[in-house]
Amino acid sequence: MGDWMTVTDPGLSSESKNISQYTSETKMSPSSLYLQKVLCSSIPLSKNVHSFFSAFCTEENIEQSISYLDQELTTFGFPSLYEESKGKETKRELNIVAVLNCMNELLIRQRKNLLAQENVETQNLKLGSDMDHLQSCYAKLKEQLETSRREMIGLQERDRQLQCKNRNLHQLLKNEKDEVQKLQNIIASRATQYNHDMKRKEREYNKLKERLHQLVMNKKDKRIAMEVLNYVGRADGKRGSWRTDKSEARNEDEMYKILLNDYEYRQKQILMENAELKKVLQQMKKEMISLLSPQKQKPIEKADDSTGTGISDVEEDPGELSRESIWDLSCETVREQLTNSIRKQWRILKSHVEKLDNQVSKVHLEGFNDEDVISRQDHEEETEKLELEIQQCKEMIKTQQQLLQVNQQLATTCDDDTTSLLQDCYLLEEKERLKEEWSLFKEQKKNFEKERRSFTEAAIRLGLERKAFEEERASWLKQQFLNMTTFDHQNSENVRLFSAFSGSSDRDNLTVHSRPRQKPYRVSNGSPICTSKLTKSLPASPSTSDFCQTRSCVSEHSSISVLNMTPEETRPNQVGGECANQKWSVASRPASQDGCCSECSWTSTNSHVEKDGLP
Amino acid sequence: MNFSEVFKLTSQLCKFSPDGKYLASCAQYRLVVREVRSLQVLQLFTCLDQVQHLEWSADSLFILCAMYKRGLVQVWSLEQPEWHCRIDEGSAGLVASCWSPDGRHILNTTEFHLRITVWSLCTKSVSYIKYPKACQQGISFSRDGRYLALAERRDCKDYVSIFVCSDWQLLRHFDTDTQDLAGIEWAPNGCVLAVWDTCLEYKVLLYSLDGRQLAAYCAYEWSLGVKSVAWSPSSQFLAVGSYDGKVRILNHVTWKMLTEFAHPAAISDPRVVVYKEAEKSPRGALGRPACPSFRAAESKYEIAAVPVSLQTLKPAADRANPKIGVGLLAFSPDSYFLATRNDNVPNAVWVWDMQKLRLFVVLEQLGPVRSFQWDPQRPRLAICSGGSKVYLWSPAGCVSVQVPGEGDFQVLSLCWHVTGASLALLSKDHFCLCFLETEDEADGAIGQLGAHT
Repeated sequence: MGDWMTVTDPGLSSESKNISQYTSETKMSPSSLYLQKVLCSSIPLSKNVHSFFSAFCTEENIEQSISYLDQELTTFGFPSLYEESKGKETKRELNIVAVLNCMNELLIRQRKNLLAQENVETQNLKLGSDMDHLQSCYAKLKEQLETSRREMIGLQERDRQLQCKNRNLHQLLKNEKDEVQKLQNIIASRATQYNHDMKRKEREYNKLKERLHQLVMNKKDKRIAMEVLNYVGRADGKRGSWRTDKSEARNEDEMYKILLNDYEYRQKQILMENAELKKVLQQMKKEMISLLSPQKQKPIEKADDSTGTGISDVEEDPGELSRESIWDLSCETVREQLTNSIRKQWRILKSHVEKLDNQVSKVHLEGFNDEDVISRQDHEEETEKLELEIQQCKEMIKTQQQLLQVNQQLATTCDDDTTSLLQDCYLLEEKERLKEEWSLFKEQKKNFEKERRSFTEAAIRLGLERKAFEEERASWLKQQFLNMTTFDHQNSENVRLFSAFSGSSDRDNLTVHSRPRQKPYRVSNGSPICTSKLTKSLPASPSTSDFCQTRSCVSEHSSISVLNMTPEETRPNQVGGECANQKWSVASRPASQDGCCSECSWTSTNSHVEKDGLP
Repeated sequence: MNFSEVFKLTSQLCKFSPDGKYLASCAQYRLVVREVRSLQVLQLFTCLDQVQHLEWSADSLFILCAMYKRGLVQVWSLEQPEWHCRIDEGSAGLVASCWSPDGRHILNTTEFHLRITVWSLCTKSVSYIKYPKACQQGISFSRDGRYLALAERRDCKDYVSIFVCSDWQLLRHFDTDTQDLAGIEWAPNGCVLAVWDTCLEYKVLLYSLDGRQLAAYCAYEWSLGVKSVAWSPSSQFLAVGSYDGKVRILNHVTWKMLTEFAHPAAISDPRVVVYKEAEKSPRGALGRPACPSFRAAESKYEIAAVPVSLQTLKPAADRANPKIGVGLLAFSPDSYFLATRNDNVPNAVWVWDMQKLRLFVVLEQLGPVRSFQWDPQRPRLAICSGGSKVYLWSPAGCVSVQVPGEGDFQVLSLCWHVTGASLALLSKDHFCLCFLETEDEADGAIGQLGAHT
C-alpha cells in the first residue's frame, strides 16, 4: 500500500510534503526537524504510526503540542481546541469536547479520505487498464497504418508501372498504327507499282501477241483448216443468214424484247406480291375496325381521355370503308392514307390492349370476389353443360374408335395383301400370266357359248325335223292304214297320239333333264382329271408353263369334244371360271411362298371344282 | 443402289449426253459411246491422239474430242458413224475448245489467247474473235443458248463483248470497272451478267444484257477477295464465296447483300444437324481375313452432338493460292439449298437452307471433299472425297456407299445423269455407274426382271 502511494500517486505525496513543508516552515514547530527527519527517513507511515505519535507528544511538551495542534486545526478551519477565553490574560483551557469533536471529525475525514483514496485507486486501475487497452489499440492501429501505408506505396508503384506500361502500349499502338498506315501506303504504292508494271508487261505482252498473231495468222498456214465429210444442216433447219443491218436491228429488237419480258415478269411478280400485301393490310384493317368498334363505346363512357381518338375514328371509318376501292390504285396519296389509317388503328389497338392489361392487373390486385359471386350460378350451369358435352364427346370418341378399329382391321387385311403383292415380285409375274390366261379362258368360254348356242339351235332344228318326220310318218301310216283298213281308224289315232307324246317327252329329256343327269357325270369325271394333274405338277417345279400345257390340252380336248357333243365340254369352261377365282385368291393370299403359288392356286381351284360339283 | 461393272477411262473424260440416252467416255485415243440403259457399246471412234477434252453437243448428236497437244479437234456424229470432222489449228495451237449452244459451231481458243476461232459445221464460214482474255471463266453462254458473253482484254482494260450466237454478231461491247477481270457468268434467266474481279480485290459487278451496269458490290478491301460465284437456278440469288471464309448472298432486286454465311470451325447452333462420317467397326476378327480389302473401310454417318468443332487446316501463308476461303458453291436445282466447301475446313460440306437463310446441315467426312454435285431433279447431293465411297445427302438423311469391286476404286469426281437416276463415278483410270432406285422405277425394274426370266 505504501509503495503504491509513493509510486503511483506522486501528487498526493507531494501534497503531504507540501503540507509538511508548509507546517515546518511556517510554524517552526519543535518537532518539525524531527518530523522532517522522519519524513526523510522514508519509513513507511503505517509501521511507525505509533512511534511517530508517541514521538510527537511527550510528557514535557503537551502544552506545546496542544497549541500546535490548535494552531494547525484552526488553520484547517476547525474550532479552536481551547475554550473561549473570557479575558485576555487568562490561560486558555483545553476544551475536551472540541478536542473530541475534532478528533471525531478528523477520523471521519480520515475514513472519507480512505474511501476516496480507494475509489481513486480503483478508478486509477480502471484507467490504467483502459490505458493499456488503448495503448495496444494504438499499437495495432499504428501497425495497420504502417501496412496500409506500405500497401499504398505498393499500389502506387504498381499504378505507376501500369501507367508506364500503358504509355508504352500507347506508344506501341501508335507505332503499330503508323506501321499499318505505312504498310497500307506501301501496299497501295506496291499496288500502283504492280498495276503499273502489269500494265507495262501487258503492253509488252500485247505487242508480242500482236507480233505472234501476225507471224502465225497472217502467214498462210495450210494446217489451219477444217476437214469435214459434208456440212450438216443447222439444228433449227434454217439456213444461215447474212449479217446485215437488218439482222442487227432484229438482234437489238430481240434483246430488248427479252429484257422487257424479264422486267414484265418481275413487275408482275411484284404486283402480285403487292396485291397480296394490300389484301393482308385491308383484312387487318377491317378486322381491327370490327374488333375495336364494339368496344369503343365502353371506353367513351368509361374514360374521358380516350374519347377524342375514339370519336374521331368513328367519324372516319365509314368514309374509309367506302374508299377501299381506291386502294387498288397504287398512287401515293392512297398509300399514305392507308398507312396512316392503319397506323392510327394500330395505335388505338395498342392503347386498348394496354388498357386491358391495366384492367387485368387491377382485377388481379382487387381480387375476384365480386365477379365470383355474380357468376357462380352461371359457372354451375356452364359446368353442367360442359360435363354433358364431355359425355357426348366421349361417346362419340368410343364409336369412332370402334369404327376405326373395324377400319384398321379391314385396312390391315388389305394392307397385307398389297404388301405381300409388293414384297413378292413373283406374284406380279404370276398375276400377269394369270391375267393372260384369264383372257384366253374368257375367249374360249365365248367360243363354247357360241358352240353351245349353235348346238342348241341344231338340237331344236333336229327336234323340228324329227317332229316333221314324225308327222310325215304319221301321215304316211295313216294313209297306209286308211288304205289297209277303214275300221281301225280310231285305234290308229290313239297310237299316233301316244307316239307323239312319247316323242315330245324324249325331247324334253334331252333338253331339260339332260343337265341334272350330266352334272354328276361330269363331276365324277372331271375332278379325277384335275387331281391327277395336280399330282403331276406337285413334284415337278411349279411352273406355270406346265399349267399352260395342261390348259392347252384341255382346250384341245374341249374343241374335239364340241364335235362329239359330250357333256364334258363344259368342264374347261368352268375351269376357266375357276381360274378367275384362282387369280383372285392369289391376289388376296396374304403370304405366299415363292414357288408354291401355282400349286396353291391349283389346290384352290380343285377344291372349288369339287365344291361346285358336289351339289 | 446398284453398280455397273468398271470401265476404263483416261483423264476423267466421261460425260452423259444432254438428252440422257448415251454415255461417252475416253480411254486414251478411243472414244466409246454407250447406251445408258444397257451400257452396251453403241459406237467406238478412234481419235488421232490421246483425248484431253470431251464434250457433247447440246442436241446430243455430235461429240467433240480435243487434243490440245496436237492442236486438233475431232468431231464425231452419233447418227452417222462414218461422218467425221477434223479441225486443225496448226501452229497457232489450241488451249480450249467448246461447243456453241446450237451444236453446230465450235469455239477454239488458240495458244496465248490470241484469238477464238468459231468453226461452223454447217457452212465453210470461219469467224475470229480477237483479244479473248485468259482468265478463270472468260466465256459464258446464256442458258437459252442465245447469247455469248466473252471477257476481253485490250489496252490493259477489261471489256465484255456480248455476241448473238445465231450469227455471231456483236451485240454489245462495254468496258468493265475491274482491275483484272477473273470471271463472268450469266444469270439463268439470261438477263444479268455477273462479273467478278481477280482475287486481289473483292469486286462483283452486275451488268444488264444491254450493257448497263446494274450494281457493284464490294464487301471489303485490302484482302484476298472473290473465290467462287454461283447463281441460284431461280436467278434470285447470287452467292459469292470469298477468301475470308464467308458466302455473301446478293438479292436480285437491289443487288445488295441479303445475308452472309460464315463458316466457323465450331458449330454451336442446336438447330444444325452435324453428320459425322465414322469408320464402321469391323464385325469380327474371324470374318475379316476372307475379304479384307473390300470390307475394311466401310463407314457410316453418325449424328454428332451439337457443340462440334471441325477439323481445320492451317494454310501456308507464304504460298500462292492458299487453301482458305469458300472454293466450292452449288445451289440445288430447286434453289432451296446451297452447298459450300470452305477450303480450310476441307472435310466438311455445309448445306444452307435458302428459305430460312441459315445453316441447315454440316457433313464432316473422313477425307477432304473432292467435289459435290446436286441431283438435277431432286434436292439430293452427291459427294466424293477421293476414297472408295460415294456419299449422298438429302433432307431426309445421308448415306455412305462403298463402291464394290476388286481393288480400290477411288472416286475423284462424279456426274449425275439428267434424270437423277444414275451417277457416274470417275476414278483416275476407271469409271462406273451407280444406279439409284426410286419408288416408281423399282416397279419397272421388277417388270423388266420378270420379262427376262
